[in-house]
Amino acid sequence: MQFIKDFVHKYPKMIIVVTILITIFFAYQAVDIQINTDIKKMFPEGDPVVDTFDRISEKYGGAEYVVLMLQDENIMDQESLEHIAEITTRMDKIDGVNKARSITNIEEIRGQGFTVEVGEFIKELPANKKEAEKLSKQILTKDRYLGTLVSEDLKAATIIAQLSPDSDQQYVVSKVKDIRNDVKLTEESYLTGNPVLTKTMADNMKSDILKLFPFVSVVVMTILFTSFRSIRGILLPIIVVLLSVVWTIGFVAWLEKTLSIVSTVLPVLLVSVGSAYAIHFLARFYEDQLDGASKFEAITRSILKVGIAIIMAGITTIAGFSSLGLSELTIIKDFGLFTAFGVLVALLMSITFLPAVLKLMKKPKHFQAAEKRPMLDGIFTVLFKIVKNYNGIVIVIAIVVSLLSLWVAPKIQPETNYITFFQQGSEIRQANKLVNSKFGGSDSLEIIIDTQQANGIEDPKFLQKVDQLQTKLEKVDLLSNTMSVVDLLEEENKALNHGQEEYKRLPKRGIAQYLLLLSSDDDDILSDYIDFDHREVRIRIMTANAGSEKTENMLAKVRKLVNNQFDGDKYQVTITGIPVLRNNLTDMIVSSQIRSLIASIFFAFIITSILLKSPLRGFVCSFPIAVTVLLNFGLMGWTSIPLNVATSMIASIAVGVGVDYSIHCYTRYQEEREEGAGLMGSLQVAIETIGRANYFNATAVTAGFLVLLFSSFPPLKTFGLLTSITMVVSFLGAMILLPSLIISGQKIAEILNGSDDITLNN
Amino acid sequence: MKRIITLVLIMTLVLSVNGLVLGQELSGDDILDKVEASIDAQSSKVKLRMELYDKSGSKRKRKLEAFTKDGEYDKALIRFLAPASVEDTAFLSQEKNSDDEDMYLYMPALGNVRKIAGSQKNGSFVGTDFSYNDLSILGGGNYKEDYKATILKENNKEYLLRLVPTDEEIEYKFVKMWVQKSNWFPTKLKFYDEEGKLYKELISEDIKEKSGYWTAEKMTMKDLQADSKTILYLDEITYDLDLNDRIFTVRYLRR
Repeated sequence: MQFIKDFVHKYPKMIIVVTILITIFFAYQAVDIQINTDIKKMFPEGDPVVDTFDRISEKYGGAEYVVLMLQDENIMDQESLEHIAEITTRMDKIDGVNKARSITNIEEIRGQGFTVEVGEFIKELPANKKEAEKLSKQILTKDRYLGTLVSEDLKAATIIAQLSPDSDQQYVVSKVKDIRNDVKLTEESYLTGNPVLTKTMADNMKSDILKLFPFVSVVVMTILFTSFRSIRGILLPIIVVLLSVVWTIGFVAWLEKTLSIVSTVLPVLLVSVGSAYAIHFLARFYEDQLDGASKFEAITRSILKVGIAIIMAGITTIAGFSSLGLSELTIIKDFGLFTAFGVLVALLMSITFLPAVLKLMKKPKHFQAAEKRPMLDGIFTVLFKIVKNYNGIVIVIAIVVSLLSLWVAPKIQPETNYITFFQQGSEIRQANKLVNSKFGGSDSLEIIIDTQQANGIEDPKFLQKVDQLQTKLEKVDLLSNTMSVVDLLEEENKALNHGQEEYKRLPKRGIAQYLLLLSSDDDDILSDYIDFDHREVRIRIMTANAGSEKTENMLAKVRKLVNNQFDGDKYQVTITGIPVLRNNLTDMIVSSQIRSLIASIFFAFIITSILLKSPLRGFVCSFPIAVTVLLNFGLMGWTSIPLNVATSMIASIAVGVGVDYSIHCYTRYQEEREEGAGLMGSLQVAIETIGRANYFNATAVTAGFLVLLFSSFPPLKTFGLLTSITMVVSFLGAMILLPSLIISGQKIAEILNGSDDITLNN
Repeated sequence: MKRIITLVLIMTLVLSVNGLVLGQELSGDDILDKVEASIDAQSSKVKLRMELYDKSGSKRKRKLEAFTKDGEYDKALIRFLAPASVEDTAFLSQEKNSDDEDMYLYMPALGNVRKIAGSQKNGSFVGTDFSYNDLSILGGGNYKEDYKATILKENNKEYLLRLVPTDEEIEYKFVKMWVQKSNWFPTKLKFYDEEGKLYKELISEDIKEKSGYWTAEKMTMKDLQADSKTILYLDEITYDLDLNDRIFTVRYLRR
């Protein structure tokens, strides 16, 4: 501290220039920042679940789909079919689209009389109403398309683009949107599928950041104005945090990392959290000058006295965010580490750049931040009275709240369904609802059954088992429209037998010959469902988008069915697809949550113990925050707020930010005690002075998080609200519970010492 | 027109030595004439091995035999000899007139002959990287019906031609063809898709003279977009046999 103080006094200009130069460097980097919302990027690098997904996608041309859905009174009329045909052709040509399928280009295996042909189901679009009606009747007999490409009521149709594994998903989605606009549809149209969700999320994120960042800056500045009532009181803290945001974003870009859905919170978080250090510094700076210190002395004392507390608070905050680095989820890990970096920057700037600027500025004329404020002072008088008279009750309440929270915490449901990231009634939600109800979903579950020998699938007995499995799978909740080589063989068999319905079954022998014939096809429909060596089959099942719990149950059922049907070492079965990825994410969120929660509270305790040189003091400072965190889980349990990527961060944020209030309060109390004041007197000073800075900070942080209520992501709104509540609670925890603990601790110590001389009023 | 007969003609891509004409200014179409005129074997019997590779390098093998006969109508029969699971599966192609051809399929498993609708000329021939159209262009006998040729380049050894389909059912934008001057044998062809992107490449190797006809014993067709390839090895070939017309009948298919 001494070193920093000397440095600030000697080289204020140099500090400012260096800060500006570094800012320019990071600002230059920040321009290139990328946003990524791909579900796969949430997993750790080299995760086997993602590797399997990629391997299967690569082999079968992609397992992600963009689905454009059209809805009309009659989707099989001439006009709609023309639209579908045009969109299909144009979609097929987009870079990154492996194949676009719709009713206008789907192949059928035809058998008419003596001929056999694999060709497009609709050879030529109907020229008149009569032909269209005839086609509608035909479609009703084609269960391979019905419910996938055309809804059973003939009021909706889909155009499904299968994306290559290496495609630029955001590019494909925007191209599909362009095509939709170009075609001038008379039908209602809806766009869905995982890449669409991802892209829309990225778009929402961008507009969110652009909207919320200035908003939170203004809100925090307003709070700063009510606190400091001076221009420099507003500008200095806000400049510190804006610079730290620039540094952080620049740092992320410089590391060639990307922003994710949770990183949207990053600027908001840094503005509200990072302003704390400058607030505490300035509050002390004004307080000392009001006490008669010169500008020089005020700077010195602020650095020496508050600087320590700021660093302590900063370290616990950094540790809190770093504990997110233990998460398995890449997005949360990155977010935690980047925020920790940002906090470090804000902290360093508050004790170097900020005093350097103050040093060069004129002495302020007013010290309103520290002057009499009847209302504020009134609040702290009340708080102190509570502490003094009801400290036992405060502790009991805290314990009761903790126990009640512990009781409901296990009821919290994890949720990773992307759809919950969109507002009710948004196009994405409507599209999702429609595609689930009319087409059984837009995601697919992929089951690969490897016979472990070349041409193994040509055994009719094996294929019969596949067929049976498909029948069973279709009965599972959320699943519909299974598709495999079995369906193609059945269709072919029918075609080869004069189109007689009774032949729509697996051929009893000669599978290799049937496959040979099917391989003579323009579209190569076979390669979607079997591999080159005829070793394995792929079953594709459309999966409705549902909550994490339902998905988990569905997957458990699927695994059981598959294992029953293909047990033993003879077969190797792989199950993958977007629903599997989502499910794994759910498991990760839960395990990450537990891990980072324990780590953050543990860190807070260890760090405060070390900083305050006593595990008991460490406990006193960490206890209020532990209660706060428990209350957060209690709130989630009582109000059925799910645990998702956003809410799973609250505990660590609460610990990291909330423990600051306790540290500031405790260090001030200690400072007063060391200067000879009594227990109650010290507490009173601590509550009334630090209370003010804590209050300024808590209002800034709380207001900052409340800005998230204006986010377009429902989970971020919930996150903002919950975090705000947590901030208020941890502020009260530091101001009431912490002093109450100190008093009770003293009482207990005195009872243990056998002294009945109560000295609390000293 | 796009007859299956030409499948066999790729393998027997031949050129009579007497087709050489020197010292004249030739147009692209003239060169096509030379290539075409040189293929005058009346019939052939071929045994060949086929190797299919996918992008990961996995291999599937097949053995086939094929008979062709030119006459009032061009005819071809292809029969699988191996693997056992497809043995005796056979295709028969009969040209009816210049615009139409009949294709028949015999599958032993079904015990019956079926007619195949000939609407898939751009599709893969039994899962290979050759389409029916490729077989047709390679046959050589029908270039002028389907393509218009211009000379892009020439040097002492070869011509480089650009073939543009005149038949609108051919889904190539154009084809580049390298023709050897010494024997009018096309050694390399590059196929460009409808968007003008390089799609497939065919290379003929081990070009030898057999019974007076130039014949490539190895032909590799690469699908550069799918990263797969098909290699044909010519094991036996006999030209100008006296083949009985009965071979090319539906009855004979299910022999």
